[in-house]
Amino acid sequence: MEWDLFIGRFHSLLVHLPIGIFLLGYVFEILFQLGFRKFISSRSIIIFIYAIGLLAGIFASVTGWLLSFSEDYGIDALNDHKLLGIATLVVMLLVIIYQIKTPEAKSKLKFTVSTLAIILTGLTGHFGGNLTHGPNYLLEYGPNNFSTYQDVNLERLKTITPDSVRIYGDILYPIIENNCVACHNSENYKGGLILENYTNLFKEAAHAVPVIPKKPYNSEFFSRVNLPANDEKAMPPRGSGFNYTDIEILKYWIENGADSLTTFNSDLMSDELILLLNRDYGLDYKSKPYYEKVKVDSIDNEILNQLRRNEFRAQYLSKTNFLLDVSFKGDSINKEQVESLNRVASHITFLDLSDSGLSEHLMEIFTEMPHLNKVNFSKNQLDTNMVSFLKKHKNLESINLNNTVLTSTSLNNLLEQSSVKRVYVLDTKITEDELLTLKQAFENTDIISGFKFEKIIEAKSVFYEEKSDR
Amino acid sequence: MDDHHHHHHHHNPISRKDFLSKASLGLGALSLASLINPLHALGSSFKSTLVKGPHFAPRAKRVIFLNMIGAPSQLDLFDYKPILTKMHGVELPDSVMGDRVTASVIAQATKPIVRPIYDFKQRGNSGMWMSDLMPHMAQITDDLCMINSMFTESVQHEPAQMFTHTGSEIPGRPTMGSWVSYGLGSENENLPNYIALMTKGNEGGASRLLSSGFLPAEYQGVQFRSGKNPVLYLNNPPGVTGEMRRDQLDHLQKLQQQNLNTWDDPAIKAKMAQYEMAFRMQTSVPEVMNTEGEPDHIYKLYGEDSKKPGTFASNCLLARRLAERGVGFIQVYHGGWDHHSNLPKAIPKRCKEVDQASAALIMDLKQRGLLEDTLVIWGGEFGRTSFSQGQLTKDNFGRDHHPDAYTMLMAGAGVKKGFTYGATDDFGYHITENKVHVHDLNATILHLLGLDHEKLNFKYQGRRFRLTDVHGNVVKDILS
Repeated sequence: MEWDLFIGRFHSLLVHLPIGIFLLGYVFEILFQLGFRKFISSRSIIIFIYAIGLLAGIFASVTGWLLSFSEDYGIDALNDHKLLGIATLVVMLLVIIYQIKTPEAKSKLKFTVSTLAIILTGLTGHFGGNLTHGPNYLLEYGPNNFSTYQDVNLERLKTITPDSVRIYGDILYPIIENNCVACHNSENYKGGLILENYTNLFKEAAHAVPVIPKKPYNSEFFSRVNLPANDEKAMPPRGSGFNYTDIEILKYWIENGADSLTTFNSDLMSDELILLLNRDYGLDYKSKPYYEKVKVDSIDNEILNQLRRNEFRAQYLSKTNFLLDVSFKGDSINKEQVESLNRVASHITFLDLSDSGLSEHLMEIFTEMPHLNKVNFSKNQLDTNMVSFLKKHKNLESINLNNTVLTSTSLNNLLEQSSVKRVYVLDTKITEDELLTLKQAFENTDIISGFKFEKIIEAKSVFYEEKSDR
Repeated sequence: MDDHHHHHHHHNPISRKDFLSKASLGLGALSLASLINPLHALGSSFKSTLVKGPHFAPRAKRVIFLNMIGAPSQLDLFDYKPILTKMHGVELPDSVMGDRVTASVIAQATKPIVRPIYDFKQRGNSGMWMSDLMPHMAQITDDLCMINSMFTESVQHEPAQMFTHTGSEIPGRPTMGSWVSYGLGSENENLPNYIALMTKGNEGGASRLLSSGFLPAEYQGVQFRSGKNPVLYLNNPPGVTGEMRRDQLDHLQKLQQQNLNTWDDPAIKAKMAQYEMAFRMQTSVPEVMNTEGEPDHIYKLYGEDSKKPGTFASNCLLARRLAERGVGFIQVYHGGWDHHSNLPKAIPKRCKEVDQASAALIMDLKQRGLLEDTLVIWGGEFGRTSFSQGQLTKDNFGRDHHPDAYTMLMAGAGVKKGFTYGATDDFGYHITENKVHVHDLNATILHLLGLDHEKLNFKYQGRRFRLTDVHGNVVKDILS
């Protein structure tokens, strides 16, 4: 049992009394001032009401003072409320004394001083409300231009490319600043925790370290924002706090090193996080194809021209992407031609050698192509040597082996060591049964073979009525 | 450059060379004045300043547009609205109609709601809705991207078709295929880069839809016909053998070369390349148009019709053969979808003509690995109304034009699979979610080809024109 807090919590109940009573007194004073003497026959009624209000105000402030020890509130906002509350009571005391002591001739002046007291009452109440409900509460559902309050500056996010959004500086810190720093700053560090700068995130606070890089579930900060709202350790204690997206962002940031410069990387993000960031922050992190993630320099024109003279069609992917899309245009490829291909191996990302008379023997002289992403070896008498070549390439996404002499063993061998997403095996030596087994064994690869329609059952129109002549 | 060119012509009053080079090959060569890949036709030394290449790495290298001319009813095929069945025969509420009514609708006293004529079911793993009218397409929904929230501007066929093709209702602008050829050049040295196929007797398409507008004529679409003469005036005239033609060309090349040495005009070089291309096409066109070598199971895949030249099915098979040979933009037209009346009897026929072949084309491209860099588009110029045009009887009704909501399908390179995008209200009348304007669709198609629709422009009569004019946003949500 904590008496001070027990009594203190009655503050939110008692605090409405002086506000109401002061307002009632003020309304009476307005009527009195306007000359409705039938209802308000004497000023003493007004003074009496103000006095009752003052008494209630003293009760409210005592309970408020007790509540202020609870450490539940940000010190700056709390101080504003406390000082305004005291000021209100003092001014109201002066109002009462002034109303009694001064001759009736100065009634306008009296009214002005009362007005000041009422304004102070209103302000105190508003700051008190903000303490309990958070600064966004009042106008949150108002017209757009009233509720401009936002943790993260979405307009600013629109101006930077998603790849350069710094998770801490651009998203997390604005949330922390608006939800945590009021109670956890260098002057007022509740629980020994300071969140207003980056370095302190990693310093042990009273009982735990707020952020332990790569370990979200051991990080106190992460645990606290995840607690149910009615848990007394839940943070922040008031206001909307961290929503699901923000918690997922925090988790991703801690998991990936919690560096102040950490950015989002679509390869590491869950599909869900990608969707959430798109929905809540308008950031598009759809995973990019491999060839958009790699940067290479352009090639010497002479080497490219030599390749073209050797019956290849060779093109940069675009004006700014110097990876090569190469296909063979001749009838039958020879050693010299393969060698000219090897000279641009570092740039080839799409390679089409379909129907080029490529032999297992020639396959041996192919050099590795580090950025090879898509390859078409269809319509060639190829099997094991081709598979050995393909196995070396870790960035392959699509392999076309239609109309080759590929066997089930070779394909199995390839898929065991490759993360290729699609492989085409129409008209190979693989039987339908073998295909079924392979498809079951390698569920992450789309093994595409011949397509057949299922039998069609002719549907009848639901519109016609049955014809009688049938 | 142009000034230079004309200047010299004034100094050459007659010009035997001009006469020869323009007339000696006859109409054949002239009609083929566009059929050239400027980048590669005569080796890498020749480069047209107009050809630009992709702005960024493309997802698609080519497009096949299965264009259903006349506007198929999205309500009977793709956009499932159970309320229409529940309220069949009930007057369409005024609150649904909105402001836009056509003259033909004003003329009719009642507007009874009509249900879709065949059952709808959810198909594949994606649960995409599709009517029983499309039993083959229904089997490949997991490879389709369905946009149910298309809308366009015109309520009349010709302007709406022109709008889909050029981004303008008024003829005169280049069509999408021309823009693409202009922007990307050609992958193929023996065939035009922009080819149109039309169903014989039910063409739908027209040459005005293949116009390169103010772009150079070499980017114009070329129609390949079924039968003996796929490309008009391509064959040698009677009595002229291939050898004679070759000989003639060689001599002409010598003259042109002299001409080129004197004037150094790239237009001469382009023309030389065009003659050569026309010559090569005498071989390449019959080769690509002859489907006799296709195995039986392929004919079976595309359906019986595919054996009959000039059918939609046969054209789908040809489209695949053209795609295989690197043709960049292939338009396949099929008309007869304009069902103002008699829809219950007419639409099943149309569906039978296109359903299997459309699905077969997509899956044939897929099994060959071609769907990875080919974009297939299926659809018409607008949609149709949820109420009956004319009288709704026990076994008959029609649907009027409806530009405010319709469906397009996409499949292949760079678009999401098994994905339904956008939504319409309960009556399929207005779009309620993710509107896609024709300009947006066109911007997206260019985007998939690696072209920025805001950068691909051409200066004409003092201003820069684009396919999307000053509009269009890439529909990023449908990109994979």
